[in-house]
Amino acid sequence: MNAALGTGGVIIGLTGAIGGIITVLMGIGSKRPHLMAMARTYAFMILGGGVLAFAAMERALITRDFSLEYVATHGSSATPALYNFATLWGALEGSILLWSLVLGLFTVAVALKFRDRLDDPLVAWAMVVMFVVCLFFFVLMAWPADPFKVLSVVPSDGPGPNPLLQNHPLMAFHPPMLYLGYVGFTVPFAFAIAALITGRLGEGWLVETRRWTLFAWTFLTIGIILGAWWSHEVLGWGGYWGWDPVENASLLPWITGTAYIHSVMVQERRGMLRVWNLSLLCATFALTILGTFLTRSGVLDSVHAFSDSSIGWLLLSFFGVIVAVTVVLVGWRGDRLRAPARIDSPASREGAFLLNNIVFAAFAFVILLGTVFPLISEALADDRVTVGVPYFERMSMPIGMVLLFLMAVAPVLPWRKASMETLATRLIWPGWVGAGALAFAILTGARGFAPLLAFFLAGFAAGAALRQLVLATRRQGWRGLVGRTNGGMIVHLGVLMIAVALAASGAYQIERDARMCVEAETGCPSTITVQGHEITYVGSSENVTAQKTEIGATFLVDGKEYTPALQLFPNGSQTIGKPTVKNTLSSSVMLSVTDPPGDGTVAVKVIVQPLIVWLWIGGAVMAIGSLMAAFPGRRRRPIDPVSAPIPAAGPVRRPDEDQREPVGAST
Amino acid sequence: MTRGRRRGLWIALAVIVVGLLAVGVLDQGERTDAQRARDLEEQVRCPQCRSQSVAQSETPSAKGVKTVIRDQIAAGRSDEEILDYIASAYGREVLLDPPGSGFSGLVWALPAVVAIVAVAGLVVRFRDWRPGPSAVVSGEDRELVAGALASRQQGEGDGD
Repeated sequence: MNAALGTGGVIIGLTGAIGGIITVLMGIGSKRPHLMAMARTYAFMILGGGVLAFAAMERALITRDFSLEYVATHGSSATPALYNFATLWGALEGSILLWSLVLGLFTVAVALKFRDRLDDPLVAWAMVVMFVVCLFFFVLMAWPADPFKVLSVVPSDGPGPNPLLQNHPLMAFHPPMLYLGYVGFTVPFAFAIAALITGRLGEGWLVETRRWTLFAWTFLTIGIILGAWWSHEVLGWGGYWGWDPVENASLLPWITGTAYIHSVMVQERRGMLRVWNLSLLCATFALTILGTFLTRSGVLDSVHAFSDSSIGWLLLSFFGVIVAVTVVLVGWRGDRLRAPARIDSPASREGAFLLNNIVFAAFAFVILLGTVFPLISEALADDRVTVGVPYFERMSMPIGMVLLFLMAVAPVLPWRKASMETLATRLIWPGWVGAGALAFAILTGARGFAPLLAFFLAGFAAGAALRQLVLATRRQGWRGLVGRTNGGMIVHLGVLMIAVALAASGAYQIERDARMCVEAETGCPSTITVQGHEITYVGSSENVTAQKTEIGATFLVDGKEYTPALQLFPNGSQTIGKPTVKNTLSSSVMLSVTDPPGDGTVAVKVIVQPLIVWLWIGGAVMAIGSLMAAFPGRRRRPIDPVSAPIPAAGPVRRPDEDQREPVGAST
Repeated sequence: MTRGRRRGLWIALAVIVVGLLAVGVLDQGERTDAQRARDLEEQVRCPQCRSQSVAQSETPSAKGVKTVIRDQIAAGRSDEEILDYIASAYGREVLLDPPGSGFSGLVWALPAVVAIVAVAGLVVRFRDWRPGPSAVVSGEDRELVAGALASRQQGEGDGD
């Protein structure tokens, strides 16, 4: 029943995608608007198929229908409701299913947003591209990653999801957020390809997709931050980012997407960097596919595991097709992509954005290289090497510093050309804010060149961002906090909080392993003090449920009770630690049990890290800032004059041409 | 703000920042053995894991490597000697930093090459991007602008 419903959903989606492609293409070919307008019907058909398949899978999980292979291998009757629901995206087939559902949502959203313009060739082509991407994912579900495979012998129970995926609620939210981000980039990509095909390469399509890009980027950001939060809360080694291939795969499109959000402003304002922007957008979308390939094909375990997975070849081919199509189209339209303007001076807003883009591109290159290098090395030189955390840290640290510096300088730069005079005036107070941050860090005992430089630059950049916000709110009241520039400055403040937290928690982490007893004896204290935090061991407890067996050890941290535990799941051979974290604004104390407690004694690892909480606060500020940036601010319409009229403008000025600065942009 | 006063403020700022950074760098205590051990643990992969470092792992093999590192530090070996020793005992691939020589030297060299090419390319582009002659406005352009301005007055409020 569930299998039939689900397979039905996949077939409906597949049919919708094929039908949409053929119908809209025929409509474009024969210039028949009613055919192009049918895109909306097909979009709903795809979404309907996705919803049906999703509902069927959830129904199978909730009713514990172990006749489905997916439920039998990833579900279990003991899994609590939330994790059982989230099991859908806990493994390959289910994540493709979620991806398709989100893609269906975006396709319908585009069809509805542009419902009056579906017969416009630009929109029609964009719909075709969306349908092609939908087709690819429904094909994956129809054949190599079929989530609705039925078992001939139905087991009575399943092993349940991976233990690590069922001990923290964040796991239920992190993947959907990430997918909203990944899949969201399909929309601007579709419009970019449509612009290339129709040759309408002006700034129109950019403006159309601006909010869509921001939306995708915001959710990708939230997804990444939630992932880091999850690993900090669950993995128990005090880390939040391990430069793991899976993490790198989510960071890569984020980096190119961030570069795009910045450089797109140069194109909107000055018509420059057209090829570059198209490439960034296509790279972002291609990287989401490449990331899925890297993490889902098993290729990173070994080159040899790759040949077994059919989905790997398909994802890699799809990636290749995206890159090839982009390159061919950009080459074909090369003559129309020439910029009408030039950069006047490197010391200008556009110069800073260009530099920012070069740095982001270098960052993406380094991470991609480090991630795939073990593969290249094994394939070409038969040499197995590991490229790990130290490599990525060493490479990203200077890049991060340059980015912080740019965040300080770029916001005060005017377009076209800045004089040293302007810069010196506008940057002096932000500079002093940086010096203040540095002095404060020194006073609180921070030492070491790299973290201190990071604190100074972060303060400097925060000063520049605040300067913009203060000036804008002084001029426009609350509207000085919304709109792209001002919202962007709030995002910058969030980024800076994260940068400071990264530098501090990385450099000043204190770790202590201790054996503790309820009754203190020699060599086994009952209370220890780490970095001024008093930790007392109280006792152990055991809690057995159908889902898991949990052995907890209760501690008092500065008087408050925490119970880190070791968990044993029926399907796992090894015990999984469940750490606890006590968060305050200035520092976090993490406790994890390293040996099962017994006889009134326990082995515990204590990690004290400063400012961890600011990673999550910074993430929230970034999300709020993006929201403010999406909120329509005081916007200049493309045909409004950019600068005040030159008094001796000549005879063409008519008296009715009122060239005041437009106030209160239309929304 | 006068020019002289601003210059004074910038000089004071530079002096203070450099001074504070100097304090922060020179005032660091000696690295303790525990810190050295921790730094080394972060550079060695836990032999039975995929990408976790020994420092992050509580598996028996990771504990084994930690013991080796502590013993070697106690024996007075330098950081390089210890890493070489671990590489010879557990195999090259347990070191999280790829070696700088041979084929894997590429992973270090390529980013540097790319950075140099990018900066050089940017410098060349900026040289080319000297402000060109200002565009000549044709009659067609004027009509376009006049049309746009006219439609702006009519269609007030149909922006996005």
